[in-house]
Amino acid sequence: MSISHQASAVLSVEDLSVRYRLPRRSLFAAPEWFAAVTGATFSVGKGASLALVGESGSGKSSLAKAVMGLEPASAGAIRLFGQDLASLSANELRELRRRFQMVFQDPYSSLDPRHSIQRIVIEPLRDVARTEARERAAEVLSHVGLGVNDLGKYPHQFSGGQRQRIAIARALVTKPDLIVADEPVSALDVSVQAQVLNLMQDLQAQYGMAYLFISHDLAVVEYLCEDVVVLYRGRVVEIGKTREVMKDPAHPYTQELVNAMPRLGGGKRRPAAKQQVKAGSPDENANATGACPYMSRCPRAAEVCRVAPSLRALGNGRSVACHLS
Amino acid sequence: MALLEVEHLTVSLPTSDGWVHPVDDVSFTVSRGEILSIVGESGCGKSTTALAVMRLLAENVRIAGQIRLDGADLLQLSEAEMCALRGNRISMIFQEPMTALNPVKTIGFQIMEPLLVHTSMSRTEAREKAIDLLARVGIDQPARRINAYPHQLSGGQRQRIVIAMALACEPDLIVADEPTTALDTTVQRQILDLLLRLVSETSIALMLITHNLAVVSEVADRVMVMYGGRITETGPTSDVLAHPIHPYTKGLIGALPRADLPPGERLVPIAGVVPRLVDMPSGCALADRCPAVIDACRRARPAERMIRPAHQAACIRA
Repeated sequence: MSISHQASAVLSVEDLSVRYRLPRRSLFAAPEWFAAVTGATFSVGKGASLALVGESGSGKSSLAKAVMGLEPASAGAIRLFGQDLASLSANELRELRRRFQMVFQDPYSSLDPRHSIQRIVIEPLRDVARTEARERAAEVLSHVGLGVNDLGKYPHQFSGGQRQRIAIARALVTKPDLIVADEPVSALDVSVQAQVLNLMQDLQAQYGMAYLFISHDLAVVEYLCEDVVVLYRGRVVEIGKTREVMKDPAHPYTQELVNAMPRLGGGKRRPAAKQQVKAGSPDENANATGACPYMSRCPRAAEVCRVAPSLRALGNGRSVACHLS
Repeated sequence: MALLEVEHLTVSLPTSDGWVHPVDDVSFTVSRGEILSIVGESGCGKSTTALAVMRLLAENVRIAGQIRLDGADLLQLSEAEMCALRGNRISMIFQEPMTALNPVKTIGFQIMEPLLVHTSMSRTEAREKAIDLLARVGIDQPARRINAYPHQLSGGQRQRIVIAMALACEPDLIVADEPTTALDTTVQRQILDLLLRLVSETSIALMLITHNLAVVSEVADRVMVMYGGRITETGPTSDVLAHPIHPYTKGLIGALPRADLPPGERLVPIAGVVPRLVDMPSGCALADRCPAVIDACRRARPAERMIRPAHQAACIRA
């Protein structure tokens, strides 16, 4: 990664680890930790859109929380607009939050049911005069396809798709440079999902903000995001241009993910031969033994995989963490 | 004769604004060895149709029409007779395996339960059969895992347990309501493969409720699209998805982000929102959202018509 690239990056995540403390086995036992994210490095350029994909437990939401400053990093650094998140005071962080906002998955729980839409949307604008705040709220609401007369209404008067638009309006109202969106369309019906995805695309074209988009749906990611980071068990296994990664996945896990994606118009599948699934979740000890976390699931696993691979560049912006590809 | 024949099924629900019809005059069949998929957005009546077939709707709900299993009308059965069928000849797979399983009972107990209730098997025989079933749904070391509790299993494994429970009494019909929606993509693939294999190995009829057209495309023999409690289009899956007739089906396909979409191509959302049940239009339910709407659409409810062989749509503009 070049210096100039870092300077223009809205967000750069360097060797980031996030861990959670597990309940102690006994009062006097040493605390144990669960590594949710281990050594993740990537960056999001100005006006770019980057997706984090992976299955549940891959660490994508932990990463998003760390980027938002909602979860402390146990190692590594998060730089937002060149400033190290960990070095900021609470006041400085609050000041900076204007420039990065979040949209959550469930628009039913992310909007306070007792607050009017106006109060919800202008909440990030604490130090702005009330009349101006109201004007700004009306403006962003019109951008997301709602009107001034919706300002006095309450969340229960809106459908799921409309609520997600309100959540997006709230994120937009401070004119941020980065929006972190954690599964923003996965709770929505397909027709409404299309409205929200189009809206996110239009807003980006208009305001030029960057997206860090978290999703488990590769089709949605391919539609909205130019670049993709694939996570597996808290580690980055592949980075690249979304279209290229989807067309020719390099890491065996990415291959599994792409192959598993149901496709329209592929015709009916023939029932596959019977599979056996291993009892218990795999790879729980991978972090302890230092092996590749994907090893026990990998069809190509070999002796070299007993040592976890590090991410290496394949050229053309693509990197992969696999000895064998 | 098809295994399941549903005729003029109407489900009515009392509300403060009068009776509403989450399912409104729906007729369809499912044959042995066939996978019929019911698709549509939330609120289109697909889950209510499934629950009506299982007769699991609340007491205050009125069900009219006929639901015949091998010729016998399920709506005429007493609750006791229905109990003897549920989990035996017809069984159900729910969306959330964690809530479908009892957290304080072992998985062995839960798979054995339908066998002990519906068959004359002894506990030992039922246990043997449960181990068999676990192996059949792809659980490794079934004799050991049978004593596990649901929280000791992953989401995909739990869904396999739910499928094993549904299979226990070798049912004729399985109703699966969004069985893979709560699962990761890779696990979804495994569960869909498992269901496909079970249907092809046995002569089970599977009614698969889903909102995911890509899943339909890969699994279903026939698809039934619902909107506003009514059937808008039915036909062989490949024909319906490649040559959709009804504007609603076209809308669902156009709104779907897909891998083969050229770069820069925009999705086409369906305009407007699903009408509330109390405001259901008297004519075509889609009229207010349809790009091809004409005055006649609002006058009367369009009848289902055969447009191509085995392919029906309820649209006067088709």
